[in-house]
Amino acid sequence: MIRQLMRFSVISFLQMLLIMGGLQAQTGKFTVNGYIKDESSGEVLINATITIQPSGIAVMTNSYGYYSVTLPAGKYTMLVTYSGFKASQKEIELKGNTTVDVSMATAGKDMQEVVITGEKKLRRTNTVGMGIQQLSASTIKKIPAFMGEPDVVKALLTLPGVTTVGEGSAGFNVRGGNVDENLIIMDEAPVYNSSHLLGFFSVFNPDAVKNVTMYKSAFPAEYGGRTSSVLDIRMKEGNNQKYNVNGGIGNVFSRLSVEGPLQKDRSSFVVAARRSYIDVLAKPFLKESDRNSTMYFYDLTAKVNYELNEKNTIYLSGYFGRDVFGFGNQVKFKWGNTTGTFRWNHLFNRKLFLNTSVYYSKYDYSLKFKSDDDVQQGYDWTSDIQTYGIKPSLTWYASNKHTIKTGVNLIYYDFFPGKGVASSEGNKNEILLKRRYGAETAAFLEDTWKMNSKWQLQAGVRLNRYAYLGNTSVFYFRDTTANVRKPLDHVDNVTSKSPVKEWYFFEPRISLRYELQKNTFLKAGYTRATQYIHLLTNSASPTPVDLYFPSTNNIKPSLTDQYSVGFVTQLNKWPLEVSVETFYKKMQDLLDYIDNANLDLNQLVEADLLTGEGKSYGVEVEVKKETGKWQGWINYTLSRSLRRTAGISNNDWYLSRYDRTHVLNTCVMYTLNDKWSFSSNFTLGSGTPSTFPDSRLDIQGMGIPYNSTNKRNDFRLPAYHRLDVSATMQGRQGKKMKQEWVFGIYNLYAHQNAYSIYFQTNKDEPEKKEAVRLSIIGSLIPSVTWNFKF
Amino acid sequence: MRNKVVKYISVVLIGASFASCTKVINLDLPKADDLPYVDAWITDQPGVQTIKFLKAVDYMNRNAPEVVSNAQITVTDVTAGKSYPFTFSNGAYNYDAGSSSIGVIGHTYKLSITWNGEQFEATDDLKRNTKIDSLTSEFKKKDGEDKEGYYVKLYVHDAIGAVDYYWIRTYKNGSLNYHVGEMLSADGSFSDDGLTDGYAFIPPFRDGVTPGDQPYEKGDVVKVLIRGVSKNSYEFLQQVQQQLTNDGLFGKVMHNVPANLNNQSTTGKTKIYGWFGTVSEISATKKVE
Repeated sequence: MIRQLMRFSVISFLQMLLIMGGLQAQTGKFTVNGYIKDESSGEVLINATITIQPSGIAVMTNSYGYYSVTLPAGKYTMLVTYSGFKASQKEIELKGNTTVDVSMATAGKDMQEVVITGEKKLRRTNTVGMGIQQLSASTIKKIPAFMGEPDVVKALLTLPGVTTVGEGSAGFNVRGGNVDENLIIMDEAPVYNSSHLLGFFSVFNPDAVKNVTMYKSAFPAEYGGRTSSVLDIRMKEGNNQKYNVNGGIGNVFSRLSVEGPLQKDRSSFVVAARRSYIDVLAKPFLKESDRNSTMYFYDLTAKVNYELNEKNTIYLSGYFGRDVFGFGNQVKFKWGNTTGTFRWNHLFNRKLFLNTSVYYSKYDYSLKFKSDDDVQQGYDWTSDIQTYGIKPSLTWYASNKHTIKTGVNLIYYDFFPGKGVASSEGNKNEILLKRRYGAETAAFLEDTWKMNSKWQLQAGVRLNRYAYLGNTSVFYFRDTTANVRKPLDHVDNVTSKSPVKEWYFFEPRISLRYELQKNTFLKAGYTRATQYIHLLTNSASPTPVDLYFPSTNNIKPSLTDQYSVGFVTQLNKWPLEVSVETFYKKMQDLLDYIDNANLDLNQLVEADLLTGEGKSYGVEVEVKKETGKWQGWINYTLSRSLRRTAGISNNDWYLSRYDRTHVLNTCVMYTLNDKWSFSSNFTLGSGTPSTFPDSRLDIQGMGIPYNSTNKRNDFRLPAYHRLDVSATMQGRQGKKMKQEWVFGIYNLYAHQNAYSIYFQTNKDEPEKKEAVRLSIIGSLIPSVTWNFKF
Repeated sequence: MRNKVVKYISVVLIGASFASCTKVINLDLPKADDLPYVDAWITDQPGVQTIKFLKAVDYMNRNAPEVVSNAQITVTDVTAGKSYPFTFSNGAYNYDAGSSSIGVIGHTYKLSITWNGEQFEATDDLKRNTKIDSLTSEFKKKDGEDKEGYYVKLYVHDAIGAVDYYWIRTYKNGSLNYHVGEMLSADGSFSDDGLTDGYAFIPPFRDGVTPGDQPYEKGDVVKVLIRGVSKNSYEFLQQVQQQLTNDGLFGKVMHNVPANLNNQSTTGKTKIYGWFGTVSEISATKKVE
């Protein structure tokens, strides 16, 4: 059924292209369309609001700054608003189809006033769906940052429903989901590892980031393949008016970016690079023999765009990042992401906008060991995952009531689980794991329907087909007791790349909004999402050498249904947005591991995997103020995240490691004057669930900890809390060069938050057993960063 | 392998962040429920073999565990069809094999325990071992975290063919050196896929018999004992080792290591925890001079 629907929808997508391309304006009605841009840089503005008076119709620009609105002939006033920019007003007389491109000026000194009246960015009050949060590059830069370096992922952690298992851990968890359940896309290309230095920094260079949008529920139908969230990161296009150089020098790394026009108004580029020097700082703490150690990361982000003509624009963007760890001549580890995206924006007509993205993404790592003594030994290990994708997507501004988005998405996965080569005294052995292949095909259709002045509906559907492909060894296992390695039954060597196993999924995505009274809305939504690739990790935090692995004949794709209901209001008396969102998530076929799972270069790794179920639910309350001298937000989340897997924790529901019952975040930013601004961030949350022993078994002199209840995660680490502050001083503002100093203190009161509690035998008194608390950040961390721009 | 690598990165990174810290804390742990357990490892060495039958104590309790004395314990050499009844004396169950040994390489053994009218059994295979090439000792000056002292190195080659599993333990002046962790090796490395078959043991084992925080002093007698273990025992020990050193950024969820001693009656109410392992042993001793 779904299979036929799929075929049908792919074909109809192509037909629609043809049909809609030929559609003309309804009689007596004309279309106003155009791009909204930043005057100073020529960058398009995403989610800028265009309000048409007297009709009161409001539309927003898409990810490429484009808008389109259809009106009866007549005179109108067009008001364009965007956070941090002066509102722009235009009188138009509509007698025929008209293009109105608007270049907006930054708010500057009179910002406070203008912003109060003019701001209307992507807020909960003007989106239909729930669980959507947007951060602009400027907001990210205002939040006090670890080591003074603004960071996309760290900024996300101040939002409700987004948590980590601790400092230094990689990735993030959304509403009780795993790290690998977040679809992180940078200019449409998926990013597999979002962390540098394991988890202390994220791979996105804030100097190259334009906009960050996170969807915690109500995923638009165009996104698929992950079940917890979508993090859509859009890179800057680069200034097409003049050359700019931005940079910064901080404790940990330095940044430099250059942008400018290739051809004024039509084409621009941006190149941004970072390089850390933590290894230089760490040197005094290393052994004499390890002084030539290396430990650094770097990344390079680049993008060019070219407006071919009024109807066609092309973009090319890429990212390359590496983390390198080396110890003397003996050890070298490297890992990182590579992505590339080519995009083509095409306007068929004023109402029909097509974007086609073609992308590539690779995550790879290599490990090399060499002995430095008389026994000549070595070990090399490499592994990677590569993804190729194409996504044409069409937006049809059908009428003022309907905006329809449709498209297809084809993704091809190539998994290289690993190759190991060991050598010793002149001998060499090699082990090569079979490559695995997967293909994802999806078609989506979504209508945003303004039903009347009170009701809005965003109804979408995504049809997915996932195929685990051949040209590999397909393993079949016999079933056995839960939580015990499955015995191998037989191996099929499939020589062709035909599907070994395929699945079809139907994913409805529905959001409904009702305007209770002016600026007060009730919202409800339902989202289904499925996932076909899984990060194999059974440690507290994912590591850079964890493998991505596809759904196979032995691992079912996971599926999540999420229901949410909420309320949002823009207060009249104070410039505050208050929102309450509740959610319930049901997760099926989540990956789990047998107790002694062997995830290393293991051809039969599927024998060690289990599937279980999960559920999470909670309420997120947020009060936000985004205008004036004082800005910031305070949010509180009350939630639960549970798992149940046969063979684990007496087959009962247990708290997942991502369960944080209470989380409170407050972020306050204060602009004193043109010179000084301050910000602070405080976070308080329940400790992560943990398992503790009650008994000790003395076997062969080893005091083995044992938990006689067999219950998992029955205890909690102490509550986590931390306060960070920062102050920004605008330095001397020369005609050409602008500079600022950012002073920060992370963990101001030096609280030693527990990352984990583990158990050990005292080395000098073996009969004495100890509980040890590990704090990754055990003190306050001051930082100074100097930023410049010319 | 990967775990070791990751642990290594984690240790260095945490060290380098110089902000991290560990602290021994007071933790109110729940009470144990007196789980009966056995400590039963049989070797291929002559003399007295011992099996202990005890009751679990609270994790932090420093007292010796309570002894269970009213069980009948027998080890059977299934391959040779011989039985060895163990008798209780001095707090443990013993069998004196005299100048011969219970354990023979290549044989399969069964442990049988009768207790409170219920029957418990476990089996293991006694696997071969390799031979130690040499133990060397060298004086080194302080180097970073490594203190000044004598560093002993272990040179061994893996036995050629098949995947061999080793459990390496280090003794200082007659007692287990807790500054050196338990070391487990497959084919002289961490790889149980034949990748390093017949190779020299890799540096983590070569250097692993000396703790950097407490190297040896002149006069110390260092003994390295290598036990050849079955794959099952190796996996049991791997999990035990994980539980004993569950530190760092990438620690794992604590879990109970599955055991191989089973109640023979499906309706049996009593549970005894225990791993029955049979091992071949080789050792080398070096007096530091």
